[in-house]
Amino acid sequence: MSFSPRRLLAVVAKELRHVTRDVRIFFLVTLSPAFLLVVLAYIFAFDVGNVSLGWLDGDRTATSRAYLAAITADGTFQLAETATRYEDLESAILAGRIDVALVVPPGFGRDLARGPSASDTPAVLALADGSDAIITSQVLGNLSARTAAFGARLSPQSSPVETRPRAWYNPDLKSLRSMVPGLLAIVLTLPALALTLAVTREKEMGTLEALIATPVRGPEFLLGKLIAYVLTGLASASAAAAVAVLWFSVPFRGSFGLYLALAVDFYLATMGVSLLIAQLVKSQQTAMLLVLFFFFVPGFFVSGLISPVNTSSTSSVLISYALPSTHFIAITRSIFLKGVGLAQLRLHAGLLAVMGIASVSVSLLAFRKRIG
Amino acid sequence: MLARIWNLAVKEFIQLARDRLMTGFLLLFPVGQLMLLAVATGQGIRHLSLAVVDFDRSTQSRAFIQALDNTPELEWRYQPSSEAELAGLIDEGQAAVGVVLPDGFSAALAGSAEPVAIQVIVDGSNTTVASTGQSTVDGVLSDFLGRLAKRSGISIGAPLQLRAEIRYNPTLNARLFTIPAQMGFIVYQVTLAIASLAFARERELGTLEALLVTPMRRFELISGKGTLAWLLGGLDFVLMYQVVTRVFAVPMRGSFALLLACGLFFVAVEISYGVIISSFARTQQQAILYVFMLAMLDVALSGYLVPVKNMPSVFRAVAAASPLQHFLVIIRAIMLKGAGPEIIWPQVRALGVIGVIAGAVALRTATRSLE
Repeated sequence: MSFSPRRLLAVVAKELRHVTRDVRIFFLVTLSPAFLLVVLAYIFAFDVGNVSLGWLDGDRTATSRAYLAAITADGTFQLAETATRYEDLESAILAGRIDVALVVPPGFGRDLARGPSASDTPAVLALADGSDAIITSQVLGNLSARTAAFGARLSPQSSPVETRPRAWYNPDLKSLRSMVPGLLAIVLTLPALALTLAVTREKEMGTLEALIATPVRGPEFLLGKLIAYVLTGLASASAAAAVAVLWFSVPFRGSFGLYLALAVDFYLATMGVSLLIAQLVKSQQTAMLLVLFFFFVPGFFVSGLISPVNTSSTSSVLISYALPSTHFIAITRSIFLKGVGLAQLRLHAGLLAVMGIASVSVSLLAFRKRIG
Repeated sequence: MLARIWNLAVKEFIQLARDRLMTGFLLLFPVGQLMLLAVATGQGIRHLSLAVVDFDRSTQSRAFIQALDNTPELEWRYQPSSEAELAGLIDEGQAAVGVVLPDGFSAALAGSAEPVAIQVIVDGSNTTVASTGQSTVDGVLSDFLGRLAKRSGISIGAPLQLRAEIRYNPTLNARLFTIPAQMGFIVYQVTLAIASLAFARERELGTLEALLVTPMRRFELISGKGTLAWLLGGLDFVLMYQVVTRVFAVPMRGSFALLLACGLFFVAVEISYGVIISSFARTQQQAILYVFMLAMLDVALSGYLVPVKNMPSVFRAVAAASPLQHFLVIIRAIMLKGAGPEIIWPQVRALGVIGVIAGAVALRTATRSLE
């Protein structure tokens, strides 16, 4: 018996009915990505803020008080503890009561009025908690800029060279705009998880045998399931994009058609791997652990969502690029914010397509052999 | 009673041992994932790809580019000849930071021309990258001007500096925290996955009735199921601790006994959550999707990627109920800061409160769902 499009359609219809019949499953595969996106976006959209500041003023002059006022003016840094001894700052950092402390040396006001000499530039000491490195480096960058600006305001001379910073695609560097498109790639792994579970469930419950006894062939069965889940996945990709644009006002500068096309590309890669996992394992429990292992946890940590892919080490590039989310994060950020076309995204789109075609073909072959 | 709980735990072990793939997986998965993530996790925001358009082409401009390249944050990869070419590199994501040195850069430095501005273009589609790029270029410029001033004896620019002294991790190497934090995440996933399916699986396969007609009381049934997840979680934790300290050389500045005690306590609290899910879900598929959603939220709320106090107040309240969040603070405090019990007491107390409440809810819901 050869491959029949009619039987394929029948399987697609059966699967779609299966998904839409159970309200809870329907919610989980179509709307839960949009729902999770809302929650995660609020959590992840952070800009340096609410930094608890420790303060030790060894100078006690009008200048040092003006400096503290300049640092805390906009509420990003909040004075949490004023110390008179250095040791008190250290123990406050150990206990986590403050994130960073500023220590103003005696003679600060005098030195600043005199200006930098050939041997020394007046300086303030920042004592920081390095145990949270990424946040701390952002906090220190921010503090240094404020300190330099305070110095420059008092300086009689203007600098011969200054920088004119410009952030493209996101001029005021709102982290919400960068996180929401990135998180799309994380929440849209849920449809792939649902597919793995659907296949392993049939295996575990023994309903797969019943299907094998019907005239439906292996490839028709698998492709039918795949198509049904890609279709429901497109519904969830549209819902999530609508939330991003309408709720979070993230600009959508590229083409929506390209977004959907590349979402299919991403689903082929993630669902292809999910089908492979479903071939390998016997129980839904193992399938879940494998999906957590392959998609979910690495999705947050090595996909470039927060810190960029470490391109200086080959092993880390290999691991990050093997993960479909890495490519889809680059794609969604580019389409939403940069508005670029397929030409600029060819590398990521191509790698996703290779993963998708390879994993779907392998699972089709493996499946046919097992029941044939 | 203890004997009956133990018997059920033994039954669970035997059942698990029959599923070879699952057993191997439960033991190798945590360590494997830890290795993988640790290898791929960078030290923080380092080696951002830099493109410089140099319209000045002087010794000074080359020295400045060299100074940018010498920072750990930036790596000079491209020298486009025009701003249009630079725009292409940023659009394609090849370059994360672009710097345009104007004609007249060296003349301005020598004081013989009008002040000039260096354009610093960053890719704002990733804001952490963008702000690091900007502040690094600013820092390099202010150092560069300071060195010039010292050499020429005149004071120009940058009259006030910030000198940082960083505790526990002077080079701000992100891996010192990200790697031990993974222990928390991985133990969390494994135990939650086992516990949440404890009853859902038996119910779906129809073997739950058989268990219910045994003389075991409901409480014993729940404890017996939980014991397996607890022991496996503890074992995984110890294995991963060895990898973290030996393979990745993360320092352990506090007491291992204290960390292990907190770890086992954390796993027990986590299992209560798993049992609650298990009693709500009718099928394994539902249980798994609930776990997946809970895990996503918990990772987000854990304070690992975003500090808890930067979250909106609703989420701060929810984060307080997340055992993972408290446990990560404990790991960081014990391993990196060498904190003793008095420092981590607020977190331990929070875990205790969550544990008592979640445990009571778990017993109640599970007992009901077994009727």
